Amino acid sequence: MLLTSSLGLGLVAGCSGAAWAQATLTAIASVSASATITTTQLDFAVVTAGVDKSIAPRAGLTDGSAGTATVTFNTSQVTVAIPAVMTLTGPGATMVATLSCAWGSSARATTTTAFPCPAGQAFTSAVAPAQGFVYVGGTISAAESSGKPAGNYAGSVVITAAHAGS
Amino acid sequence: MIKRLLALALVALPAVASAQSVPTTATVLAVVTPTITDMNFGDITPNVAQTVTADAANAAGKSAGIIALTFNSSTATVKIPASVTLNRTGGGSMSATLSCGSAATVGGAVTSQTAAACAAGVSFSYNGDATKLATGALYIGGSIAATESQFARAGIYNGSIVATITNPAN
Repeated sequence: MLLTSSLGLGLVAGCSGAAWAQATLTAIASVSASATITTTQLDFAVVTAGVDKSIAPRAGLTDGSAGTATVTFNTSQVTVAIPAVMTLTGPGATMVATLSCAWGSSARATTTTAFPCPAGQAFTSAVAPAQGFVYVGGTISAAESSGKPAGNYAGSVVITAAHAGS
Repeated sequence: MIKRLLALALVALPAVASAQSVPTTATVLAVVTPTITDMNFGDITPNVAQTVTADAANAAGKSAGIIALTFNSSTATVKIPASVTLNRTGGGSMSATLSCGSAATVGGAVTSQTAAACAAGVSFSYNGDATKLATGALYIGGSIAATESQFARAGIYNGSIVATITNPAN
């Protein structure tokens, strides 16, 4: 490129007396891989001690609500994984809930497709930003709630999003 | 035959005795030679603005572009476009606005230039030293707005900045 510029310069100089050239340089940028998750809470609502309570992993429930995780990513693929269980802590006691997972086509999907929570669900896209919609439901078995003191129970679920590709 | 030769000699001798000056000229062409250093915006986090300053003071991983000139005329002028589009193989692009600064040499003190000056052309002057070529360096910086990278796919983006360099004949 430098050589071409110089040669062009010499030729023009001989003809017109003044010289000109074009120099081309490259600008480079690297956009980092990114995956962000926004969530809403999983709500078991009222649990009756000694009675199974389940929340389906989808939108539109009338008793309680599934948690949602919307992942936005700029890579060709991202995999969202959720633990198999979670622990809810209440007034002097805990309960373990078994989680259930599904993905839907939107953030308000009443029809969803189940997947195993720990294995995760892969989302792919050719364009950015791409989004994936995950629903988290669960079951608190009768054995877990039996004999537990009344009160509010709360816990956390750590959701991971691992991106791949570019 | 002999007479002719003598006559020729007679005629020729005065011409040799009175030498004539022959005008001689030489034209040294105006030459400007650019040496290029590419510009690097470094790693960009989506939806976060990124700026490369038009000098040598950028943080590691980022660097200004440099057009270093040597020239033999009274001035040399470099102008750059106001922006550049960076493209990703496989799709996607970002636009960057460009800035510039000038220095007498690469590594010398940089004077920031206005956007208008960058677009109109930044001039470098002959240094008055007839024993060596004049020099100048144009540093090229730029900014990528957060909105440009907000929805950008991960990966490498490249763009070409075409600078126009002119210098007069003397």
